[in-house]
Amino acid sequence: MKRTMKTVLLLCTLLSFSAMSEALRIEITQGVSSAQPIAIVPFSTTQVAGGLAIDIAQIVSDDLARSGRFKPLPRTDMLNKPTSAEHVNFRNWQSLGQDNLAIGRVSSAANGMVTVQFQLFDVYRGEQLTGFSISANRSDLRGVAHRISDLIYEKLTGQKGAFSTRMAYVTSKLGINGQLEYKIQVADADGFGAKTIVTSSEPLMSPAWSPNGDKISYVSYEGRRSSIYTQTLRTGQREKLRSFKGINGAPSWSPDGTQLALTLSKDGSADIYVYNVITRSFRRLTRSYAIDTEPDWSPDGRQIIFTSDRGGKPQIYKISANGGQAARLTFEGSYNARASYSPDGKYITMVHRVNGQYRIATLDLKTGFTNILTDGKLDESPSYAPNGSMILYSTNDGLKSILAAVSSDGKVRQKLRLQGGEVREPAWSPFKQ
Amino acid sequence: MDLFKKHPIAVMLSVIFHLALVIFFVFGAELFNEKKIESKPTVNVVKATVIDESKVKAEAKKLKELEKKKKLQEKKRLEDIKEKRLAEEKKIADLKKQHAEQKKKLAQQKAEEAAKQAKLKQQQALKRKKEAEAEAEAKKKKLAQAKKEKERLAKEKVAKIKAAADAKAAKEQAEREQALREQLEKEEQENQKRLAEKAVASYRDLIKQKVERNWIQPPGEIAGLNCVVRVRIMPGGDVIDAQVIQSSGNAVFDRSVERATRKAAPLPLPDDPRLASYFRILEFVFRPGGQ
Repeated sequence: MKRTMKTVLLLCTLLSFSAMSEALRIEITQGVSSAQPIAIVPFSTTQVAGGLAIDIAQIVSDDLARSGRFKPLPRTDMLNKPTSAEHVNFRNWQSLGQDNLAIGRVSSAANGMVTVQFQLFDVYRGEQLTGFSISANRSDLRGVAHRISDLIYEKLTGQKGAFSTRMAYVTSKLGINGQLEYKIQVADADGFGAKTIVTSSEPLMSPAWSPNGDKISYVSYEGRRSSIYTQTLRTGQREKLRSFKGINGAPSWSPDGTQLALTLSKDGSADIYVYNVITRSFRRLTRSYAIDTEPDWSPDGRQIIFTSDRGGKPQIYKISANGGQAARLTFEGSYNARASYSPDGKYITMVHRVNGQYRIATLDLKTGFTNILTDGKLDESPSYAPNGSMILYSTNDGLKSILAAVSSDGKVRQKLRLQGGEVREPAWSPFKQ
Repeated sequence: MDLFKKHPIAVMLSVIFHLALVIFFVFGAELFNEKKIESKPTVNVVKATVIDESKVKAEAKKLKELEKKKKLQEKKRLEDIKEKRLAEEKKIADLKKQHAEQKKKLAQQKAEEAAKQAKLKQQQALKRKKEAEAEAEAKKKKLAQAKKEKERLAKEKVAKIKAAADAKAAKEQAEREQALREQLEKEEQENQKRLAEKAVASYRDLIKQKVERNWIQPPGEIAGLNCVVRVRIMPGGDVIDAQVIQSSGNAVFDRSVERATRKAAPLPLPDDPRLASYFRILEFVFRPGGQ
């Protein structure tokens, strides 16, 4: 009897308990920042006359992998390779631990063009997330692949992809004549399709993209004197800015493309000046006995940040683009330099010295919090991707300087293998206009 | 008035008598005086007229006789008057005597009356005294009774209070016992519940950990986003379906958390089917950075 009572009691308790919380609530406050597993099945090319020389799916896989946000499934692990939706068995991809699946087909179109179709699926929901059909020239299939990468990236991360963007950088290596040869190159964001835009036996420095990506300004020491050149990419035509005695350096385009901030030492010490592209006139922005250099415009064009040692050590300062009083931004560490704004203007990235080593860091302008992203000894020249997701910089790999990319939260780092000897001073292009 | 009621005839008589007495005193003397005055003319109205000698002689004889007669008459009359006066005097004396007697009687009566009155008064006083005494006695009695009643009431009240207190105490005792029993039951229930909760909590933690391992957070600013996914679970821990019931407003975030719940399947569930029943429907609240 007592036993029965107890059982009844327990049941009552359980019932009341379950009635109390019909659905059990479980709070999740953290996840993992690991890369999303994605399967990119080789695109069908059976409908293309003569086949294709490039593997679109592979380019997409490499793009996504390089971003650090995705972990593409090796093709050898795939149980089957569907190229159309009706052949997709989501259970298979689930059992392979894949979150998403991309399939595609390339077929011949009129006028020697090809049509690329692709579909992106959510493996666990078992539904299509997006699908596109893109017509392109055979010669432009790399671009099509980057475009697909952008679409997938945007769909799955909520951020605009930056795979169709480019980068400019400076290389230097010994030439055939035993002399150092400097080049400024422009390549796709994946490092392919590198093109040299200028070569010099004297140092080339500080490439800077115009806001719509059609021109690059840089510093050249040809003639043994520093001068600033602006070169139109399409035509290769370049224009030399009026140069002054001493330093002519560190050009930076205003977001509206009408002005160029730069460093001149014509009046003594190095100061920040603003060159008006339309009126071709110079305006002095800072006036100090210290070195003021490396200007960069805020995305709204109202502020300019720069490096100055006016306080004794190099630190980052901010000044209105119209001039006025400069305000110090960095207070952590005894060396902060080469700063540039994030595309949303909320952060700056800079070279930050910690324990005698130069690393890439970000400064949260709202909180003043400094976040060190890299762990190299001599990391330099950080440059934000136009979507703000990554930062390109140069680092030392052994004795050689190479390019690397780090996610803006510092969680994913990847070295970029590029041809051309020493590679430094990367500048990530804006989105294609 | 009481007197009148008690002796109407005596009183009437007394009143009438008194009235007569008064009238007599006021008008009596006057009555006699008047009679005196009236008798005078009778004496003075004697007239004589002479006509002749014979006649006169006759007349004189006649007159002499008449005179004699008259004298006799007068004498008689005087005697009568005297007699009458005597009678009257006697009568007056009698009357006086009578009056005195009356007066005496009246005085006596009065005295008697007074005595009577006094007696009456005494009696009344006595009566009043008696009454007062009786009243006092009654009052005393009443007071005593009231006191007694009061005492009785007080006693009753005390008894009542005592009874109430006893009842209350008994009730409280009962309540205490009941409360104790309930407490024990509750503790037993709570104990069971705690055990159940503990078991549930440990599995909840296991599930939470598995979902967290399977949640690849989307990049960018996700702190502050909040998404609730309702998941129906099969007895084996497999997910029947997962549905975002409260969106974060960020499609990528929503998809990532929904996928996390699906990918975490099969979820670790307790073997005890009763405990496992808690896990048929789960609501995952994704709140990155929250506590």
